[in-house]
Amino acid sequence: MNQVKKEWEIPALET
Amino acid sequence: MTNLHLAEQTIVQAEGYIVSDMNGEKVMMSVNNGKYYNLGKIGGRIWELLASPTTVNNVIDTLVSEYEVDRKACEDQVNAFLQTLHKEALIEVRKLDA
Repeated sequence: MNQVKKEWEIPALET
Repeated sequence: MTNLHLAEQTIVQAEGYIVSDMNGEKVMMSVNNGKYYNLGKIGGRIWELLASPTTVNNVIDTLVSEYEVDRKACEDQVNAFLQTLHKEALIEVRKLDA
C-alpha cells in the first residue's frame, strides 16, 4: 500500500 | 483554571454555534454571546473530529495519521487547544462511561 501527510501547525483559537 | 484530565473523558462539539469555512480555516460565531472564533486549519480539523462524541486519543490518532507531527508534540498541543475550547464552552466534556 504511504499517505502523503499534510503540514502541521500548532492549533490555536482566535477570539 | 481547573486542569481537565481530558484523556479520561469523552468530548464533543457544543451546540449553539454557526460554523463556516473561510480559506480552509474554520470560523464560528456564538449565537449566545456574539463572539467570533477562528479555529484555523488544524483547529478546524479537530472541530470536525468532534462532530460526534469521541476521545482525545482517537482525535490524536487521526491527526498523527494525517499530519506530519510527532505524537508527543501532537498530544501536548491538542490538549492545550482543547483546554482552550473547553474554557470558551465550545466543547462538552463527558465521563467516558456516561
